[in-house]
Amino acid sequence: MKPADLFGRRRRRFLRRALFLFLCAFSPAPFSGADGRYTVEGIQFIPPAYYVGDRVELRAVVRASSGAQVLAPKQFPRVEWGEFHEASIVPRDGFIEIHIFFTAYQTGDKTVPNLVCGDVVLQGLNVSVRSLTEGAPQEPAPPHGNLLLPSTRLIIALAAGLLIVLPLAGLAGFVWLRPWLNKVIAYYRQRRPYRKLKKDLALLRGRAGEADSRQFYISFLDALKRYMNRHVRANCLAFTTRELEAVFRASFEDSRDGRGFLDIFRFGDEVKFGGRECSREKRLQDLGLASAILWRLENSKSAAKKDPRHADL
Amino acid sequence: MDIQQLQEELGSARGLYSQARENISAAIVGQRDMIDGLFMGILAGGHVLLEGVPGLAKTLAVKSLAQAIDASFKRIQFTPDLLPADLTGTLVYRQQTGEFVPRKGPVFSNIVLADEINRAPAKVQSALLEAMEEKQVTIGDNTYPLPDPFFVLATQNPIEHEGTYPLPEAQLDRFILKVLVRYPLVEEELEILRRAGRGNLGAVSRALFPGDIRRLQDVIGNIGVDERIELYIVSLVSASREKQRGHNSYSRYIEFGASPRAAIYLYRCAKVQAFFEGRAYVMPEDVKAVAPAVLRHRIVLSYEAESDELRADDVIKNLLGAVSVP
Repeated sequence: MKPADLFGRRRRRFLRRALFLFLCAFSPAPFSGADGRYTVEGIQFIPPAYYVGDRVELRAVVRASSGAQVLAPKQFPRVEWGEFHEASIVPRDGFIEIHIFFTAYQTGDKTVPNLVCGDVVLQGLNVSVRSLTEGAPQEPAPPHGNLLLPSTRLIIALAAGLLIVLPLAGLAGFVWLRPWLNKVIAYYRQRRPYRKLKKDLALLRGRAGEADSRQFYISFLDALKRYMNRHVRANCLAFTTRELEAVFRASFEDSRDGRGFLDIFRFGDEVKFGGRECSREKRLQDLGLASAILWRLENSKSAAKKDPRHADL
Repeated sequence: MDIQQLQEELGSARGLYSQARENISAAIVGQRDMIDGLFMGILAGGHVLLEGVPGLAKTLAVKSLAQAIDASFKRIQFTPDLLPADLTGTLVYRQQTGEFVPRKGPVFSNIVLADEINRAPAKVQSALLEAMEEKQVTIGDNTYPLPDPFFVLATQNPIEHEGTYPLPEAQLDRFILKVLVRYPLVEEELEILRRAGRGNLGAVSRALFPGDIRRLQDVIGNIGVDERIELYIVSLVSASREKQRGHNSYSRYIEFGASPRAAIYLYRCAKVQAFFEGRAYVMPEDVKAVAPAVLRHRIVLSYEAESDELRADDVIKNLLGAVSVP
């Protein structure tokens, strides 16, 4: 025999003895049936110490002869101190475990009535229900503060910090971004009439051959007037062509552009009010001329803004 | 009418008008607005109210117009003791036949100058204004038509209101135009001085016959007015009646706006203005050009306008600047 095997056998023997002593120490004394067909070798409560309302398992280790039948009780006796819930039979190697679950509602030592588990009768059992107030101070404990979830204080601190920091950061960002935003908005607004006009002119170019001359020039000149309205910040819609002449003179750096615009308006007036007809080519020519003049006007405006000499304009 | 044909007729009609205008200008130094106003009134078939201080050649202008047109002309000086019969005429008893015969008053002329119309009482003003509207006068049991053309030029002084009878709005509305006669420019006044010093006030030679006036009116009647111009005229007149009392709105300065008659006169005068410009069609600038003279006596200004020392022309300028042109 190897020394290792010898040592293992000794250890198993020691463990078996220790278990036996433990069971003897913490279990009621084993008892046998009257006919000697079974022996209750141990009674164990899990958990060993329990309180009112706890679900407790009563585990009985029974060694029964081959003729004895061990069954879970079909009906539990009614007791004043609590109630039985369920039972199960668990066969083990050489013995049987009976698991009975109950809940006690009263404190103190209580007698368990006989529990009939087939041929096995568990009798003379006591339960000892402990009280939470045992050994507690007589005076009631002072009230607890609010219970907080873990990290609650950290989260609150972070939130408070954010509440203070975020508006300040927003304000700082706004102050920093405002000039830039203003520039973007101003640029967008400044170019809006031109974008709208370009869209209108593109639409007119597409319909240059379809609409009659009068309708074409009504739409065309109205679009130009709306643009000039925003460009010079005056009510150009209420201006006649003669009044617009002065506006054009003041608006265009190149006097040829002003004259070109004026010619378009004068010709348009003849078409609108004098019933003059015009070809598709003439309409497209006027559209092209207007687009070119407006492009120059917009570019000169942008250049004037970039030029520091025009900063105050 | 064909546009080409109209343009040709317009050309010859303008020739006549230009000649008459030149002839009057030979007698009157400056005062272009007044002379244009007189022609506009007569060609639009309406009557003109001239407002200006004494000594601005109002009477001379009207006399010259009558001479240039070769039309009969009468001047009536309105005074507080004037009676309607002094104006329209009356029935006179003829001893030889023992019957009443009508004696026609000075109103039976082509051109009548009602000088200082606001100095006569309301009944005299009414008699003249009725003749202006109906173009006929009833004497006794008979109604007599007034000569054609019949053109009344009334004057009033803007500074002396003592002992006057201001024309009520309803009667002012009968005048197609109210022309403000302004002081001449310095160089014009100098020219007047020189002419007066030489005793040469200029003679006006005839350029038009009363029949020519009818012909010019017919040509002007054929001048085209686009529907958008018509809408613009109506928009202007109805805008004067708007009751938006916004702080920046011109309408808070207007107590009562112009009547639909103003729209009719605006329409007619815009055509005449287009004729003056040599166009066979009316443009928005024609309407704008005549709007002050047509509207200034038809708009009753509010207390706010008075307190802001605004005149009707200022309010009309705002009105014209607010209504979109076609």
